[in-house]
Amino acid sequence: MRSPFLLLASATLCGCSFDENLPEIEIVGTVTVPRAAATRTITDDEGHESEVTDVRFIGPVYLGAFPDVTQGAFRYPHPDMGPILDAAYPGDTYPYGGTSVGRFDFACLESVACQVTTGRFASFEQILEYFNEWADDPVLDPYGEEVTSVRYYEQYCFWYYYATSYDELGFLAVERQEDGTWVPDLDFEENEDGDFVAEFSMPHTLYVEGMKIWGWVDSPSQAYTFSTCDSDRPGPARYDYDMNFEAGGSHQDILNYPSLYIYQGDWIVSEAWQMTSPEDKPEIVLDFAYE
Amino acid sequence: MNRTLLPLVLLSACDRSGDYLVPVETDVLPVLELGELYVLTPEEWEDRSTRESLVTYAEVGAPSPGERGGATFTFLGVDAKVCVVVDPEAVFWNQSVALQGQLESYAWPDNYLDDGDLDMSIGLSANYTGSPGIELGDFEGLYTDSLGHSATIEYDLCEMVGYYSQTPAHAGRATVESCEIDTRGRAGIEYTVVLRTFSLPMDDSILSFATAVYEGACANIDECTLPREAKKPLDPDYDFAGLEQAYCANEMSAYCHDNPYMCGDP
Repeated sequence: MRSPFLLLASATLCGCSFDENLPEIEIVGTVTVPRAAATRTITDDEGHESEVTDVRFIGPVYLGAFPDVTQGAFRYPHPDMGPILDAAYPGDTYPYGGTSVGRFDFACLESVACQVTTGRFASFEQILEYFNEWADDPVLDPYGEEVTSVRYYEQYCFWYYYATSYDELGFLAVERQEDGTWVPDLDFEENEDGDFVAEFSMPHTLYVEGMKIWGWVDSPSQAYTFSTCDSDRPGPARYDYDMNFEAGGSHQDILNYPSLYIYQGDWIVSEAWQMTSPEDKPEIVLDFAYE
Repeated sequence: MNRTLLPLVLLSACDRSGDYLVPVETDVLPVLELGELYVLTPEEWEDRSTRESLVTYAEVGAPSPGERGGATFTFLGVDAKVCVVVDPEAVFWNQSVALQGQLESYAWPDNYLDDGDLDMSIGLSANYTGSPGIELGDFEGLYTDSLGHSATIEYDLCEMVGYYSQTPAHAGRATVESCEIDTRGRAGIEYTVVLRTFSLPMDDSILSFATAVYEGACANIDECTLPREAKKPLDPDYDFAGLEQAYCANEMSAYCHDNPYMCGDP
């Protein structure tokens, strides 16, 4: 009587030992963003300037695996490209895989579409401080009024997303504790040198021995916008009542055509990490300031 | 009693031979080369009678199993945007089945017996991999990077956008396809158009179609842009060109009423 159950269990376990021999690996490592990339000079209402260093100034970090990274084609290190089919367009880099540390997420209001990166803001207070006080680009509600109330912003977001808890809001980097309180869970942590380090995971990446890990951080422009965000993408937009806008999202070919999205002010990997083993744990440093 | 009836009931479900799914053998070529097509000027295209006199009509037959069939032709770049149009026979519409607000014109079902489907791709002739008139090819190339890994490069310049904004996309059964190609800076350079057979009409396995190339943007292209592509029905009683004419005149309801064998039951 027990035999069928034993057989079934054995067969099930056999399924777990099957090696598909896929040439893909998950690359896990760290990426370091220099302190300068997280530092901005802020001017307050009275014209006083101050230097502020904060992870909120770090945009999405894009990382990819490429056959090689060389100098010459652009004013910064850039992955090798395939043939240029259109003179007005660069060649495809044909990446083996890629990932990002942080992504654009819609923080409920049209005025901040394409401007909020996940893993950077741990509260509504931090969002309002960043836009209302530092960026001088206030968060506006659907009626065009500046949002100054954390409670109002929070309730609006819960209404917008039909949410009931912070962990349903992807743009908030928080973690729930056992006692029910919320603590920050940001992507980056400051290291002993004052730079900012994050772990990354690049899943399902084709492993080719000798390939190089390269990337850059899309730093916000002077107007606190991002070149890698496509404002025409619908994202989690809602088209009801008088709301009619796109919530935005990343462009789809960022790693295929990096040069279309890298602008002055971005920080780039100068020495790409060469993979010599599938078990390598790359330590990527964005140390090249594109000026 | 029930035990006797049950197998009979099950067997009755198998009264279809499926012959209609097997291609009819014909002498019509499965792979056709039309040569170089003239690029109509904007004036020639705008004038309906001139346009229809310069349209190219042709037909392809069933390819052997496992082989790709279809037609190819070339045109020369004119240093401007050109539009390539293909209209496979005959006409397709969705039957209007709404209980309220039913569209009378579409109340009758489509007759799909004479419907075929051609999928279009266009590229520089230098990138075409097929042998015109012998073997249908595509526009895929191979790129090998510095580590020896190869990736496919698509040189197809025909980008059609689907209903949900997806690319690449193709129109379906009996529905016209059009593609805009920018030939600026490439005057006199040869392009190849591939019309791949996706499905053949079930009545005769001969897919007739109309095609044309004109200088200008693809705009307002529909089933009625290139008329009378359904040229050769197996049974002369079946007038699919007439059906298309009624479709374009928005008189399908009357046409189907007078010729019920051309449409299904409403």
